[in-house]
Amino acid sequence: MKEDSAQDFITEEYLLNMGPQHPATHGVLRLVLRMDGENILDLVPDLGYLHRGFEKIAENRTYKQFLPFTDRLDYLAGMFNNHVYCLAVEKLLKITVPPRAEYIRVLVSELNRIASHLVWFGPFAMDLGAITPFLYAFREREMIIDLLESVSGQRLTYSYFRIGGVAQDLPDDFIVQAKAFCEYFKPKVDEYDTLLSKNIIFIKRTKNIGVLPKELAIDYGCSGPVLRGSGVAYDVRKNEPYSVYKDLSFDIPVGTIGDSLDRYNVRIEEMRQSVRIIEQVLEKLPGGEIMAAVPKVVKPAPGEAYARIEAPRGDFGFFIVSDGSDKPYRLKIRAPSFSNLSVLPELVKGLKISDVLAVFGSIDIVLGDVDR
Amino acid sequence: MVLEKLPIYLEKIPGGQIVITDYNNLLSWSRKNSLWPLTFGLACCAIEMMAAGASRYDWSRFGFEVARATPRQADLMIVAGTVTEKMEKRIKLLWQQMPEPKYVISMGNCANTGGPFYYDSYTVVKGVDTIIPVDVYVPGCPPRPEGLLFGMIELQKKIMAQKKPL
Amino acid sequence: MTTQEIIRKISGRFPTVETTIIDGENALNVLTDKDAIVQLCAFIKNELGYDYLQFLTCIDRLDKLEIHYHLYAYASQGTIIVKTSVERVGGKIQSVAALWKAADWHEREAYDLFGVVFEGHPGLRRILLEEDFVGHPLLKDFKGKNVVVLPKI
Repeated sequence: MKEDSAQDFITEEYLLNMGPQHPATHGVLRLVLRMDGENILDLVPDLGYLHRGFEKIAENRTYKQFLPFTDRLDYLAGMFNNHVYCLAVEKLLKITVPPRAEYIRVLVSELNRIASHLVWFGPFAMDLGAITPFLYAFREREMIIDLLESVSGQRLTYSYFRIGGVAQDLPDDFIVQAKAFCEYFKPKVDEYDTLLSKNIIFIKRTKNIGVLPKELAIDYGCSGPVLRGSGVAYDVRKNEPYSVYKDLSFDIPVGTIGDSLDRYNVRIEEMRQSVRIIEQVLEKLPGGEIMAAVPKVVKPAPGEAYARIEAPRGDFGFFIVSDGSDKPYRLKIRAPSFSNLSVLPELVKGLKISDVLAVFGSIDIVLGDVDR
Repeated sequence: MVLEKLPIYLEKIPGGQIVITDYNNLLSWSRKNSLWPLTFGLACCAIEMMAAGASRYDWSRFGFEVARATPRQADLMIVAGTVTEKMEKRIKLLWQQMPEPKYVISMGNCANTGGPFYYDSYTVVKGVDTIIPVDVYVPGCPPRPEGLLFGMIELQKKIMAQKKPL
Repeated sequence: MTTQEIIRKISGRFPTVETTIIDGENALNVLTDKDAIVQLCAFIKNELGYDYLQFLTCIDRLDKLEIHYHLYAYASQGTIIVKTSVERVGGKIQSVAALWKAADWHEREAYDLFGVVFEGHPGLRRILLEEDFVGHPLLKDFKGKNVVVLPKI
């Protein structure tokens, strides 16, 4: 009897398509999964649904005209994209930015880092089934957006930086409101801990899921919280400091084994450290001008420059080749999410279908960055 | 507020009142007050769409409470973001899968006409209305959540003004 | 080890490559021929410890295609940029995907946008554009079907 029923039960593999339109892929990404029942045998990502051709557009725009395009790359962290582009062009032009502009740059960048991590936190919890943290995260994010809107005029794609400084000075009541926000936000991060981090269901869904060993993370070129979650204590702000980060004191959170819970904890701790950096900058903000002397037509000497910063998603870089004219000859964008996504097929082998979302959410990609 | 837009004739009778209205008006009114959007965020405008659905600019007070992930159960498609040629076929398929009556809002400059990527891009489709018919265009790069809500209310007015909804 | 020691070690092992130091940074350029690329990269990775391939990219110089490999070492925090060149049309070069797994997707992207064929790559196919796309967009003489060129004002 038993042998008959076992032979009637024939199983075979099938292909499951987590298509370009999916509520949990955070954009248009297609994941093709080869499944055996609920177990995953293989995963192949299919990219390019948002490839807009930034690098080709750059060859036909002047340096100043390309600045608003850079916001649309990693659209959750608009300030960082502007920052790294301005750093690369300033390296080609060999100009130094005045100190007040540097401090303002760090201030708005760290505010944007918190906002970006909040947008990661909300949908990550929503993918795993917890709807409430999404609304809490967006409530705090709206307060940060109010601050950044008073500075730059925009909510998402700021274009606030200029080659040689920033566009305009801070409004009069900005420092008071920013200090009030820091005081308001510190207990809120602990509130997220009570909402999610100590929840037994959340811990069971993320602990030991998607373990990324240290050597594999370095080999695949991962960076940012994905690398730090696996135990490599490397942060571009500490190891290759740019702007005024060497005068500020902050810690780098590092994980142990590189599972999804480690990457989650690294980002929550980064939000706390960002608040610490903002408070130091608000104390030390110097007076002075906000813009260096930049010629009206930006024509760098022939050469090449590579600048990199620590974006919320990892190691963001711009490689610009100039041939002496007012348009870049070649502009290459080193996007962190592109390399971080390439490690996903290794992480999901042997897991079940519902674990894919926990791993994928903890890597935190933005499709504008992956596809450019 | 929205009840006033429904042209009714009210008659008081002992114990309550009777509302008499036109059948077409009643159908349009009930349709516009409960449009279910399809979650279809492509690029940066998707973040402003999420902000419009979050707690500050809540869109569920206008009836868009349930955002479905499958087109079979949605009747409003908000195309938020840049449409590339690789995505063109899939958008057409999703639109065809939605049951009638269906409406499309094109949100953001990229979905309206191609946006900042109109010139020199080799993959961007110059506007989603080259693929599917669009009811309301919301300009902006990205439009504020209040702009999206204004576009949705305009769509509601458009539905209410339909002569023969069936 | 200092930059001078690195230059000595590379020049000692590969006498035909040229090395130049980039001012102001812990970085150096290494110019090589395309046939020696895999041995050179293996040496830089295994002996000198440059374990992080940041990216690899191509530049269209109208008579040839330059390929740049940006390598970084976590231990010593130094950068080496390996530069080589191939023909513009039909260029072939050995793949380094066996050394750094990050090279897998970066080489697919270079093939997609420039048309360089990487021999020995485990599965070279387009990654960002559609499978049936004709042409390689980032070459300077690419004419797309529906490209509207920015008018000069």
